[in-house]
Amino acid sequence: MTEPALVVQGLRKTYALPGGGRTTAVDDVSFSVPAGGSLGIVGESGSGKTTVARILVDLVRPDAGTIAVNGRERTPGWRGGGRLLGPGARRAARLGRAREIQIVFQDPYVSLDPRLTARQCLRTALRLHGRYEGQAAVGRIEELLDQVGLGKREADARPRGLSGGQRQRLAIARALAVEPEVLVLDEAVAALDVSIQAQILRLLADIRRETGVALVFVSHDLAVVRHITDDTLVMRRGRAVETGPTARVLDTPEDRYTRLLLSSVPHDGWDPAETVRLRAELAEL
Amino acid sequence: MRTPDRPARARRGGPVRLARGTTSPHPLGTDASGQDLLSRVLYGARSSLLAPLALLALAALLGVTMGTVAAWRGGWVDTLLSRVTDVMYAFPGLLFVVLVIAVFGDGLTTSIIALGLAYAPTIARYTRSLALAERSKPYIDAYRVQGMSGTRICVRHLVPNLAGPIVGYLVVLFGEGLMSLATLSYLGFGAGSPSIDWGLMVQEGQDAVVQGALLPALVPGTAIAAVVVAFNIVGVRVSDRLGKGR
Amino acid sequence: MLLDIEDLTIELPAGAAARPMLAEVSLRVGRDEVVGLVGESGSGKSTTARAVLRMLPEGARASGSVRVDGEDVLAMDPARLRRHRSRTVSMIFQDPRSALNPVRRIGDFLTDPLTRVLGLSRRDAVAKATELLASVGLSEPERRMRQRPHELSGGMLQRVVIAAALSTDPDLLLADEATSALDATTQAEVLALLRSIQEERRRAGSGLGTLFITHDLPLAAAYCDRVYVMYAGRVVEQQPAHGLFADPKHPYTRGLLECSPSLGDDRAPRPIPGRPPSLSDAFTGCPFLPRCARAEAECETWAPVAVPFGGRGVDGDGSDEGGSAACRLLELVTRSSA
Repeated sequence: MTEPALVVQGLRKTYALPGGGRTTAVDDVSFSVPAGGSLGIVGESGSGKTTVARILVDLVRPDAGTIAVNGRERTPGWRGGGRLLGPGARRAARLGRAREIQIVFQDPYVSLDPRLTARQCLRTALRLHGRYEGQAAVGRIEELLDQVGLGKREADARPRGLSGGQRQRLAIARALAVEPEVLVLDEAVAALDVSIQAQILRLLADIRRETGVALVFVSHDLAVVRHITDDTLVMRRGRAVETGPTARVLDTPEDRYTRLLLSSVPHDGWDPAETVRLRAELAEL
Repeated sequence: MRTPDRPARARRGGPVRLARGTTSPHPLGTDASGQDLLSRVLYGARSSLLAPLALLALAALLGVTMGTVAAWRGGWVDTLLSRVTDVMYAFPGLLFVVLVIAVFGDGLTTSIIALGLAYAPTIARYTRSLALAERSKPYIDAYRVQGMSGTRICVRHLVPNLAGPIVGYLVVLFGEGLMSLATLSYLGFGAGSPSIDWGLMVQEGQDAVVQGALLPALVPGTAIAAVVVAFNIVGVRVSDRLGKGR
Repeated sequence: MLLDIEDLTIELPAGAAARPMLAEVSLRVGRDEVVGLVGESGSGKSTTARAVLRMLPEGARASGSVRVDGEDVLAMDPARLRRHRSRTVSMIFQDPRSALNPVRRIGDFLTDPLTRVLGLSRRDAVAKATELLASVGLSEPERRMRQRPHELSGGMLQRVVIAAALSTDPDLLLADEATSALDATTQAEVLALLRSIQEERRRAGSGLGTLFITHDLPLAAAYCDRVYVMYAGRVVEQQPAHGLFADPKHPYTRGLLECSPSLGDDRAPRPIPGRPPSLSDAFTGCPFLPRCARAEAECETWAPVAVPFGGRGVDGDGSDEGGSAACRLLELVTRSSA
């Protein structure tokens, strides 16, 4: 067994409520993703799955818990310590963290800088990390565009001139430009047309195979998770209620809440009343 | 600049005459010193239009910086800047300017700096509201996740994306700035004789009104009004155009 | 037939679009029937639903007919149209928050149409509204009446909107992506509610027809009685829902099913190449041709027509097994077997 790409332990996040008191968004969540592996995090809205995604990329500061990528503890972002370093060292630490985990957001209509063309968007990312200079950078941009299936016309278009699917391809290319070890996808196909959604899923599967990047796939859509992940973590009200290999969790669920989620997926002969019944059962516990 | 008559020559030319109405060499008449009004209005346009530009540049630099920092940092920085802005807002602008002039002496440069300081809070407030909305967009998050520093995100990406609405707002403010500067000149705090400035011209033309010659005050006054109205209309158009399609 | 749309074509003024928004759309909804209308963005599914209320795009020209209870909506006079919109048909939109005035109470939202349209007294309206809230499964209906939209979750608000839509006892319900913004579990609960309301009305003998508009083909196939699939402003296939999973006829329908991931199927979803056409894409023949794996040269000039298959055809009351698909290859098969 190879060393896991991502190890998360005891993640916890609470928010202050306006009327006093605190609400727990994420409560003692732990999981790991093997190198080149793929983990699905599923749950309803308010289950805390998006908070977990944002904690992973440093956009939300957890109250407790550790995150390690390839065995390295992720240096705290702006927490403590940072001030002691000089600006050069802080910059290096920031860029180092960026190369560990990247993210693709749900809504491609607002997750791209409206001013930059696809090519400029990628150049900005490459220049920031300084791995490619001059002609090498130009070559790398073409490589990235090609990898996500964007052509010549799209390369010089601003987001406004791209379709939803093309924008999401660009957002993926932007994340890959940094060459992360883990890629978080926060409902990344939920806003797309069905036929486009499948194209992006296939693209992600290809990228995972080619680059060996580990995926964390946050989604409310169990059917999508079934096809793109090896393992699944089910979250309810901030807690992990069930975790295991995706096929096992979704085919023979042990937790009642997982069963509730599964009952809501339409299929031939589907009866939505089943969900109502399971919800009532769950409420009695 | 092409003018019917060079103002300096117009000044030297001939004996002192009373202000005259429209004649063929002087389509808008002359002022009390016999100087061609059309030439003076056109010539005065230079300082009258350049001064508000300088004023806005200063106000925009201060205001956009303050507004962006307040929106980006939040917390106590935002509270402090908001308080400062509130105080400046509540303080009558003209009174503030007159105070600055009283301390540092009059003149065009002092007027510009004083007005620039007075305008900065309005721009800061506007920028802050725009920047708050913009920074909550995921593309800004994406830059942070890429490891970009806050300063660089603000300077290179956040502020440029606000440029449209801010420029539109500045165009509208331009008219207001021109008015304020003209008011100061008129009151005798701004540009003083012998410089040519629309506000000053109105003041100088006042005496002629008593003698029944309206043009010396009316011509520069109309120029001020026309520019203010024009910039208001253009400003609204610009911000509509730039704000759209993204 | 409750709703009978025949050869509906809606065209924008010249220059605004390269093709009609809707082209020869024919669609029927019977009493007691739940009919799905499925398509991707730009397919014309929402335009079709809005045409039932004669809410046409600015400057658009419509031809064909939209009959509700035998009366053509496109020919109604203004007074009749108002009555049609307020009494006969109700529409539920995707985002319940945009349908509700944020500063007014839930109660006002419900009692308004009751007093205005049905002419109930204020007190009767409050009683009926409370009853309606209870009937859509909201707890503590009296308290809900006094609450404002921001105090309720998305799922609860959509129940409120459904209660309002049913308050005037409409014959036809248009649900435009009514559950798409909800959690999958909440979606199932809302659909279970709609199904039980439908059943109640059926037993009471005042059948309610529903046109269920969605981008989610598996959902429509699982929930509806019959499903229409739209593409580029045309109906490309219609057939009883259970037939769709087993035997989709049009390549686009098949493509949609194959690219939608499902729980029971281990095959990876197979994407349809290309993208859904916009209004600026014009076609000489079959609009699906550029994305179709089975396209032949002749498809380029083939004018799409609905080719019937199975059952007795398409003119029954919705209970028959037949359907139709607008595919040239199907036409060839039908012709050779005839």
